[in-house]
Amino acid sequence: MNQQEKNQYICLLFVLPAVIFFIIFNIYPVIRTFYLSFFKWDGVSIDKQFVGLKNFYFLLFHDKVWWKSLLNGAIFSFFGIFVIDAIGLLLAIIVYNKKYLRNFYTVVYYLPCVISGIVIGLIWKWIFHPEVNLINRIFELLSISSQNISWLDNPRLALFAIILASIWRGIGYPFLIFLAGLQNIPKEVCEAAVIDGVNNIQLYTLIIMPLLRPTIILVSILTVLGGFQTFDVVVAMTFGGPGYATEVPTLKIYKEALQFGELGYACAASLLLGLFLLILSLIQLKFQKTYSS
Amino acid sequence: MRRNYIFLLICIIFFSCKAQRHKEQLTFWHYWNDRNELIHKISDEYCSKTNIPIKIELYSGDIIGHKLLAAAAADNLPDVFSDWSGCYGRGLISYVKSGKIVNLKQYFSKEELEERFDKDVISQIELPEDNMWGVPAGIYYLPLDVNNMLFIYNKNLFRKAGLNPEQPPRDWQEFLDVCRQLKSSNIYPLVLPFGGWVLMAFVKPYIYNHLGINGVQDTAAGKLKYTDERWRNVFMLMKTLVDEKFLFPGSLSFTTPDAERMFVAGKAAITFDGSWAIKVFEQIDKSFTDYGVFFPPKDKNGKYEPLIPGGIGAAVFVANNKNKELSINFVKYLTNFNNQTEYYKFSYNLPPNKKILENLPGTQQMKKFNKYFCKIIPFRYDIENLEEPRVIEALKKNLQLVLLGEKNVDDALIEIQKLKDEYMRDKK
Repeated sequence: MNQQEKNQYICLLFVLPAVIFFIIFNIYPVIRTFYLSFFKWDGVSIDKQFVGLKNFYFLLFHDKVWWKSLLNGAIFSFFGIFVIDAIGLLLAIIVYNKKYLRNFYTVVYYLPCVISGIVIGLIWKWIFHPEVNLINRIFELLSISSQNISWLDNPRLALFAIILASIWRGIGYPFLIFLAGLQNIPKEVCEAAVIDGVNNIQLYTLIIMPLLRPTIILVSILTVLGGFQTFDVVVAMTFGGPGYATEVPTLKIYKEALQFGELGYACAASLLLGLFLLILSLIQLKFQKTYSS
Repeated sequence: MRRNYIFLLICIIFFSCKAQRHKEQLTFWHYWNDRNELIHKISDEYCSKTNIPIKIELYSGDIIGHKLLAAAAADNLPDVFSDWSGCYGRGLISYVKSGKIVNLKQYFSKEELEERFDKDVISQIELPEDNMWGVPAGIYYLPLDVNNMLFIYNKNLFRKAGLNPEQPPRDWQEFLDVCRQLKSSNIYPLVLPFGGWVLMAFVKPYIYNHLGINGVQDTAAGKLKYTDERWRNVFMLMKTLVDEKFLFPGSLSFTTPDAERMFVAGKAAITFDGSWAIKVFEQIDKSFTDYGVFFPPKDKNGKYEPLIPGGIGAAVFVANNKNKELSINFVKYLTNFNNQTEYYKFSYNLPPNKKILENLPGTQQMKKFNKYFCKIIPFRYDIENLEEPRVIEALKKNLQLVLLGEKNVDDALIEIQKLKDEYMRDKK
């Protein structure tokens, strides 16, 4: 064995612990989930009943709640991209142009991101509580509506109540990535454009935005993934109710596994959700490549 | 100097690890929010007597069931856990089937059991030879308390509405009349935590009122359809409460603590809660004592007597566990006569040993709860144990949608039946 080969083995040895952890905590659960998705199993019994592709078939062709939860996930993603990301970008631009207190604002906007989703859910549940009625009072002050709206037990409003809580919680993350993206744009490019006579609007639309495109794509992918994986805020605020109004894919999986004792079915749902999100991310990446070229 | 510090540090780490290894400790998971303090107190006393510390972890409400299932799948159950599923629910039976929990028959003689618990309690915890689950006969529960659910009403608000607080409604029609009178006095008649499990508990007395035990069994077996007139009647009863605007706003998303807080604050006159609520009310407001209890009033259109949800709060022991004997000894201590008395005095939960009640009769409300223990739904006839969990979820969700006015009763029942049909086809 020559020195170069020896070095290669030593390098592999250093990487080995990380690889082992990756296999144990990432690869093995996926393989196990795949295996369990072919069984009917409650998670406790010794015997598992092999059912083949039945779990997938039932999920795709008979389970209306699953499709409803995916639709809600899509609504979360839609609002995530068009509201959370848009506000995040706007705040990033404002903070980027601030000379003073930039760090202070960065911390303030990012703060909700570090609070547990359950805590945020409980705070917002309290805000929407019919006795507290904070939101209704704000609406009244702003002359938007003077009605006493019961948000969380109205199927048409409950989802939007959760979206509102998610917006407050979620802005910090895209904001921080956009701010980092803005800071990475070479100052010389902007200065050259200003010398060439572009105004502020042109500077942002023609120079900064195109340069920020990879960051926007990255943030939008993360937002879509996050939207479909919303869980903790929903659990704390409505637990999927009223009816199926705020049912989301991850909550559906959780209920199947731990409430209905259908662990095999939950595994099948997890796999399908994972596959769906993978396809969605690949499409977005393809879109980014096409657009960049 | 630096070397000394390092040596000291190594010594500390070594001895602390060693001490940890030799220490016996029991882990106990429970869901008794209102009794957590008491459980800690009794456990501390036990620890001071035996030198065995008890690590107590509290997981409230539905969470404990989910936590246990995840722990069971990972083979990581605690030494002892508390359970309540109206006795031998689907969940616990899976544990019995897989041999994960201890059959207590070998640890308790018949005499010892009879000394500790009442006969009717023993009959609830004893799984008979030819049980519906086909699992080994035995005792898998050690009861700490018994409980049931009834209507609780605010006497003061009844007075304000011109109602006789000592005469609660005796049938459904009277119940509706009382609600109407309360409403006409600008008092919300009902605050019910329909965002959680209570929705199903609330509707159960009327399911049994209209279908009887046989009707419930037939529905679960697929012989009786959810579209049957009797099921429709049950849904219509519930719908009346919404149509007449009896519910306090937000009830459909409230959890039990929300409704309890609203009820104690006098925001509504009637709620539906368990015997444990007496302690909860006291914790919220000590001065709130002017309330009464009544049995779910029968709808005369139903052929049968209503049955109420109820059961036993008990300790369950994990098998294949080196601490098995220790944990049984701990719960034996927890359920001895003195501690049961202490438990009753502190929590106001009905003791499984009725002799305690002879010496400590408790409040009027407790007496009422105790009186109706004989009316609880037997675990083997509980619809939640007989029916598929997904069908139960569909029943709950569709009922919620009916109450929200999002669906009409017939469409809701058709949807539940569709799901049931799919299961029946699957079974065939």
